[in-house]
Amino acid sequence: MNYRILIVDDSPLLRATARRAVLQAGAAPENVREAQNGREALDLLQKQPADVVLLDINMPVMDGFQFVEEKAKLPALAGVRVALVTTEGNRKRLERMTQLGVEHYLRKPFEPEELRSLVQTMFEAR
Amino acid sequence: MADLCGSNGVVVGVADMAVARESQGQLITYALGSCIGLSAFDPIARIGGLLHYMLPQPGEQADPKTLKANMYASTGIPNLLRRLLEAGAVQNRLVLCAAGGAEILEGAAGMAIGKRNRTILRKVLWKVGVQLAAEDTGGSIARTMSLDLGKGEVRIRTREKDGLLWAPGMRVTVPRNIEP
Amino acid sequence: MNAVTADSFAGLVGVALERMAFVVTEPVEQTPAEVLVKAAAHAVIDLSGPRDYVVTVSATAGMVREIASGMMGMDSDEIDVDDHGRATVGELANILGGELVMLLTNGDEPMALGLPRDATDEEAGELLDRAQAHGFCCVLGSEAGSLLVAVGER
Repeated sequence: MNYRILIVDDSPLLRATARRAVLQAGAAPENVREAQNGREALDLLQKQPADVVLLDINMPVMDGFQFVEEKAKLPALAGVRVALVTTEGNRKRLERMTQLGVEHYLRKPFEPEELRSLVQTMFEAR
Repeated sequence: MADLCGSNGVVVGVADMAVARESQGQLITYALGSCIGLSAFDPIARIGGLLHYMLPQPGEQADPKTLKANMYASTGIPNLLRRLLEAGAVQNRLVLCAAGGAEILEGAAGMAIGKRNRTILRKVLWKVGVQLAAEDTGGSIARTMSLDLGKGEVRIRTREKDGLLWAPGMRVTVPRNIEP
Repeated sequence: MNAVTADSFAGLVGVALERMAFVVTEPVEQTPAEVLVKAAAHAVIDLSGPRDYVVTVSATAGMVREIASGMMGMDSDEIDVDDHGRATVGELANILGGELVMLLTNGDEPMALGLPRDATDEEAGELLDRAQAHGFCCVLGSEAGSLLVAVGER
């Protein structure tokens, strides 16, 4: 499968779990990249876009909210689809994310199989 | 060891496992209370397997030489998959279904074997990298599970219902812990 | 803001461990101090809102191995506690901090969750004292190890 995924989370444990889910969903290993915060993610995407971003909110340097706001200002990244994978549960903040184009939301603690299913759903809808 | 059931099926007993081909008709296991039945079917090779495990994993003191691998999820599930691959099945074609994991014993507080068996099932499948197509687990009554090796259909029977859990053409979705 | 008890929070901790890491836990007889002394790693996270809290997570080596191996699909003995301990308790603090926010606010009131940070044995001990004076603790155990979660008012 050619889907390019970017996993954005400051937790190496979460990134490893998400990587496993993404590979089991059918992505090729060479198409899966990781970033530790929103700034790193934006820099990577501007060098080489991804099809899907799995995005944590609570991160240092640039959090997930700021990433989504910044991404919305970059037309080159308009086709990059975002799923939040986060502890965040505040309704107003999540509504704002939806208004900025975030497509899916999976709240931590999640079952790893749920993350795999979410990624499969995003692949199938492409 | 699993037994032949007439000429039309292989009965898988408690803490047991069998792999069979289309000509053997069906695989069936009874009395899935807190135990879990895990079926796997390769629709191209027409090979199927059924495991009936009782407990999550062996204790630390267990002797590997005398260990009954199919009694436990942690050893039985890899066993089932290995036997299927040896018989010619292909792992990423396998359709897996699970049934059982109920809480049967009233007053067995603190044991919750059914729940532990359901959790270990998820854990081992995640580790091996395969996913369930369907499951009928949890609740409080016993189930019978059968895999039709010709049609690939998985059927669940309880004292209250008798229906298809999965059939070819059904979308791979996993309803979680359906109450009977 | 909703009231939170040790029991309600312990329930959430148990569910979180089972969902994310396939770890089945139950309340155990050990005291918080007993788990603290055996812990291989500690992490702390702050909650800021109408009231402020601090959540401290302390896990024994066996619990670290069980959680990390479950999530990453590995065998327990493949987990190096020195490599994975901080990441494991850190992410747990993040998740459990988030669960506490939801329990307190139902997603309606604004409450900020800080970033998880490492804690020394001494700091974890001080935070345990604070939680026992103004807050609560949960001690959970699995077949592999133990977990202490201390919630104190800041």
